Amino acid sequence: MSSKAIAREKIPDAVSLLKAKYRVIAPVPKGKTFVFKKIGNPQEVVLDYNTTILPLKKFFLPPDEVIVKYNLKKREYQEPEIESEPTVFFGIHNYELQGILRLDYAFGTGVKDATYLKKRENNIFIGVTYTPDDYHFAESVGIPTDLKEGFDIFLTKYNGHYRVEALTDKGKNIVSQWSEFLEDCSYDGDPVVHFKNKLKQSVAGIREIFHGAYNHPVWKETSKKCYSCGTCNLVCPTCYCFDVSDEVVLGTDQGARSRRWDSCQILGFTEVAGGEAFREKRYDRVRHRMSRKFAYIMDDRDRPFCVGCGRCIRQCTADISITDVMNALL
Amino acid sequence: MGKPKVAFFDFTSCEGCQLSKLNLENDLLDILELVDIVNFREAISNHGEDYEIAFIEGSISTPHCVERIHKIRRQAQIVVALGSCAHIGGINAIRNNMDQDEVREAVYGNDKYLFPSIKAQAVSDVVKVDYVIPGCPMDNQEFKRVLSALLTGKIPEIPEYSVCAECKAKENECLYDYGVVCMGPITRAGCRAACPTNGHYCYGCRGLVPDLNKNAAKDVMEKYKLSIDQIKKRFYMFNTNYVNMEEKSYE
Ligand code: SF4
Ligand code: SF4
Ligand code: SF4
Ligand code: SF4
Ligand code: SF4
Repeated sequence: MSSKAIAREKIPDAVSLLKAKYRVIAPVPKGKTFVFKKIGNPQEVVLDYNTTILPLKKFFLPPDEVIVKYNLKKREYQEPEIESEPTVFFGIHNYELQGILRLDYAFGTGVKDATYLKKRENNIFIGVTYTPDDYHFAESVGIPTDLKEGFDIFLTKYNGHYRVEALTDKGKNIVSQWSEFLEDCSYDGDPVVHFKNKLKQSVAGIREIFHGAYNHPVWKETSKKCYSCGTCNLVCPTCYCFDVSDEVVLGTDQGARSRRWDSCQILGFTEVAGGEAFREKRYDRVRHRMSRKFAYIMDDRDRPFCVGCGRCIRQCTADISITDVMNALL
Repeated sequence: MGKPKVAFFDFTSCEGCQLSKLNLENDLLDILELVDIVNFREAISNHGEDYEIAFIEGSISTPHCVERIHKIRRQAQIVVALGSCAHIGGINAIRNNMDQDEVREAVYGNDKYLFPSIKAQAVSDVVKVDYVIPGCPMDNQEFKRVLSALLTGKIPEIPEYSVCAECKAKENECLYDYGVVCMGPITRAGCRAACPTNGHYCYGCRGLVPDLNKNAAKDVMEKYKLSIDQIKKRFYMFNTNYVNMEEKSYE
């Protein structure tokens, strides 16, 4: 089979074509960094980026979302209509999609979260290779840069071009519409990449590390530097905790219940009715986050709930690094 | 049952919070349907002494303030502190870092003995405060939420997490990436990260988070090359009463 490629300068044309049929979401620059955004002008799309401020989860689990509206007097309620507009997520790194797959596991196993799952319908993912920066460590958590699981199309960068691989029927369909932008591809390897950030040990057996680590000094040491701002959780592609609150509009019977991203690093998160807090000590909370990522939950293939995107390190103003903490244990 | 009677009182402040309430134009008529306002110096002239809910603006900074606030507390079933000055002492408390006699002299000159004053304190330093609506000025949306909760018999909730949480939810670039020191990580949220969203660092006007790790905050600020003096000033802007910069304790 002869493989196909697209030149970098043809990418906006390919995106334009997608836009005719789909909502297209892709990374665009924001100041010194990047964000995922609905694309207006296809020229905005960047394919060389380290990572975005927030992960893709914001489209499926928005930071703040009404889950039910009600009328107190009439004792009626309605769940909001959720549209699942056909959407192409373009230029996505593989750890990013792995994050979504972890959320699928969390929201789709046991009690199913319809609000989340509805938004996961009609999604198409087009992946792209990336060069790890100082923070990515995806390889250490079982996500090498050539892992293409979940993608419909995967773009591999070489010499100002991208090799185009259609991996599903939906993907093949799109690639066939791109034919006028494609050329023959001479490149059939995978780029050699080096991760500067790493775990000392790969994920196999990592869960066991936590068995004897409950009183390890690293929790207290780390907690001295942490001011529990919650950033590490909010920016994490696999964190899904939310707080639920009710609000009745002043002077009416109309109310709404919403959910808002929460973080286990914040003291109030562990508070229950009566004011008892389960993890009052900051080091309890630090340990909890790491344990949630690497010990408490694994998906059905026994992979941790950390995809090595490095966001929690990159964006922690106190310079706390999940790899440093883990490496102290390993 | 009649409408609850509500009173507003101002202490040492710029009265900006009361004025910002008047900006609730669209909602003011609704609010007046729900409560009787019996005392509100900025807006009405009759001064009722019979009220259930007292909203207090301003800090307690003279012996006379202390007397007045006790009297209000005896009357009101619910006392709500409005805005930074009432909630934490706010800007007024900057003067607590100076010698109080010097402060009086600077303001009143030779008449300083005619105007006794004390350190500027939060209302809760003097009497029990049931709820607070933080901010400089207070946030109108939050005022409505708190009032709505009080009138429906719910406990008004204000965020205890940090401004960063709201700032991240908006996907702002972090000012620290530009070398700018921001009080967001240790400041109570609820303003929808108003300052960072508009490109300015957070001053901490909503007060510090209840679960403060001051040493961590100092270490970060030092790393970003603020001198100890500059760090103190960042804290003192609104939070003088809550930071003893000398004290060093972890956990
Ligand atoms: S981002 Fe950093 S300082 Fe903030 S809670 Fe997480 S580890 Fe602590
Ligand atoms: S824990 Fe940190 S590195 Fe791991 S997925 Fe979450 S944000 Fe990324
Ligand atoms: S418990 Fe903490 S680490 Fe786990 S999903 Fe919730 S916020 Fe994230
Ligand atoms: S700009 Fe300030 S509030 Fe926003 S994330 Fe950075 S430190 Fe937090
Ligand atoms: S960002 Fe900080 S200073 Fe600005 S309004 Fe919010 S709490 Fe006040």
